[in-house]
Amino acid sequence: MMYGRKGYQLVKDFASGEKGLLKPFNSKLFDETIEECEQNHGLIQSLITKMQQEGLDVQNNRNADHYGALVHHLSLTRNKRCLMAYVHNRAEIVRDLAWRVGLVLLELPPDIQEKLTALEKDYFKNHSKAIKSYMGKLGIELNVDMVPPKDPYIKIRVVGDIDQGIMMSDKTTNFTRHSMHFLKRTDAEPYIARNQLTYPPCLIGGKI
Amino acid sequence: MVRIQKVESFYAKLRESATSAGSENPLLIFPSSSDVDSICALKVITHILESDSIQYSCFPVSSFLEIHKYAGPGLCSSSESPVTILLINWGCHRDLKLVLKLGPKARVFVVDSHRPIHLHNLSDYNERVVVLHTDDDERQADLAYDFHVSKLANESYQRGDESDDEEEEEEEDEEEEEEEGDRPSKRRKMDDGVKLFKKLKRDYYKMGTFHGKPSGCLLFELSHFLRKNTNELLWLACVSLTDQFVHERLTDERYQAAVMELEQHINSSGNIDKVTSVTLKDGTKVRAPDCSRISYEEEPRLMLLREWNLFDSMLCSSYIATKLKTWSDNGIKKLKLLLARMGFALIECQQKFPYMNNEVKRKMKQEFDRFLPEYGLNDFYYRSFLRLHGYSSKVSAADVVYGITALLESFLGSGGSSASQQFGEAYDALSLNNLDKLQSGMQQAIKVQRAILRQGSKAITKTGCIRSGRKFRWVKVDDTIDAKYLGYPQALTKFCYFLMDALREKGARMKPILCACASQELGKILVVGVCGKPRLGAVRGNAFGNAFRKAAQESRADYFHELFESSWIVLDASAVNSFMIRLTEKL
Repeated sequence: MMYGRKGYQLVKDFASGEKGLLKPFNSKLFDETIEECEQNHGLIQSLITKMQQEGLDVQNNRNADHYGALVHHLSLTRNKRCLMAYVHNRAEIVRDLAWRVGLVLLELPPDIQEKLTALEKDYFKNHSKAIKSYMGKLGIELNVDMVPPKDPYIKIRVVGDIDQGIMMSDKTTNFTRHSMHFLKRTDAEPYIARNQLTYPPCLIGGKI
Repeated sequence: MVRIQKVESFYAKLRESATSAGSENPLLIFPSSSDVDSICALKVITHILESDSIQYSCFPVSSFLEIHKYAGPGLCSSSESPVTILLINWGCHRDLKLVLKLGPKARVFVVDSHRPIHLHNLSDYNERVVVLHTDDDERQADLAYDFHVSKLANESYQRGDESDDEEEEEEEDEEEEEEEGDRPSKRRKMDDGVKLFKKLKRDYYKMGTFHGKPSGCLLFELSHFLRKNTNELLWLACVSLTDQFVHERLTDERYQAAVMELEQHINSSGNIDKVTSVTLKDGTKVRAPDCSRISYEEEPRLMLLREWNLFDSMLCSSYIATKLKTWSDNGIKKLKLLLARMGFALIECQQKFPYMNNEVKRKMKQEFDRFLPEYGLNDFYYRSFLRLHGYSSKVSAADVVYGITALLESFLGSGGSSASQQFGEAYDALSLNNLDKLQSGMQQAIKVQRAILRQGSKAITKTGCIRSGRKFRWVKVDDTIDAKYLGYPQALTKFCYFLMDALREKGARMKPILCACASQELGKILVVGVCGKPRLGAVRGNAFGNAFRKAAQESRADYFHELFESSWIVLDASAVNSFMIRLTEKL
């Protein structure tokens, strides 16, 4: 067995996903890493008890058992770092979701909701609450697109079912599936984030 | 007021109407989902609208009444808020005010290449309908009339809102009267003005249907005038024109004239002296990639050559297949012999085109020009447009038309993909970033063409398959598998042209042809009528339109004549025979 392998695999698992996108929480690997940490911990304990029983000074004696315990210790801290990194990076994405996609958990696309653990969901809710109260105090909406748009209008195609239609600030129209629209960017943004609309691909390249 | 003769004033009016205060709706655009020209036109006009920040909503439609599903109540009712609608490539051959039940606040703008335009739409007094019909287009039309159409239109409109039926009945009365009129004793006293008016009106509608300038080209002119034209829009105009060419909707003369016009635009938009090589710091020269350049070249009439191989493309393309009868053993022998005489190894010709020997590619034009006239194929090469992109990507306008048409015409009936979804696919495939979508369309077009060859050869070789009437022939596609490919209007039209060419080779007298095929809807039959390629100086266009409606009405069958071409009709499967009998009487 290679010490620290599980943690390494866990980090790899996260890094193999697309940047900024969540993969399902890998609880199997996560638990295995913790398991490995516990094994390391157990082994350190037994080595130290052994040295104490032999009447040796644990702090200063540099024998094989001492180095053995050290290796276990390093492996343990490394695994812990990996665990923290995994949770931390996911948390970053979760926070990002609140900023970019929307503040209400149940309005997130279902496929994203499925990928979150219960703890992450709580974290999302609390973060949203914090953002909301902060925005309430400031009186400014902070979660709109950070990059100022080149054009206040946007061209979209409806790909999902929007039963209730889009609330447009000054006009009304029929948002039936497969129809195309040129409308105010601010009206369309929340729906684009939820994958109900796409830009016609021609716009991405800036061409017709 | 209502016929606008200049594209720029048409747009100015559209813009004014769309941005007028008090409108609750954005501009509603309804492009036809039946042809490629309408997608091109849509892309051009939306480019212009976007640069003017005019909001719009766009709903592809494939029949007249579909519009009510999307337009909301403002279209018909007398609500307060004005509605502005733009129809692309459909609508002008029917009385729009009547058919769409336009309310007083609704305003319909029409860009459509279908002719003749219904007189009521052209009338100066009908302010709810605005049709773009330029002077140039009227002068260059394939069918000419020598009277003042706007005067006629005004008169017709003032005489009240007669429905189409009444008009037709009137027409018949008129004919009887004329017969009687030969005997001077019985001539009734009749106002000369009224008589002349009726005669002109009858002449006007009796021309049959034909096509005017492609909408994509018209709107490109607009973008050019507004200095909003780009190379991308120019390419769309080329595709628009080629759409009419491929589906035989214009005369050779008009095609040539339009090609020359576009070639000038190509020259003046910097397509000629694009950088082809770059010199690096150390002096080495490197070939630069083409960055979406348009060129014009002589192209062979071989469909989808670049997606296929030379042998199969020759075997299946209507132009060669009907001459050499490539469906027979003898025909294949002839084809192989032709290739051998040109010095092309068969195995090379069966290689996918991109991997075919360069030697063959280079010598192709020269050899074809040398040998094909022997087979009576004199105009094998025609002027067309190519789009070059990157190092090797090269698509011809005709192949784009085949591919996009196949995408448009691959919707399935209920449950499958809808026509508007396919419109979206086709819309995407028409932009350069989506070459793989275009390629999938081209592959579909190859399947359609193979079905045309299979069914066409079957109809030609099996006696009794093509029934011949006094004025026209008709044929029914029974094969259920190939009906999946041919049961669409444009595919069936191509099939009709294939049969006409093949029949001409057999020495049969030229007659219009009708084709029936199971449509995508269960138990419904699609019938398409074709009168032959438009010729300069022809007396009439496609005369099936009126006859179809009358025959269907008389046979009392359930019919659907709301598609955008009046020579297309959908019937109940059981009604086809009685429809054909009535039709024989009509024509």
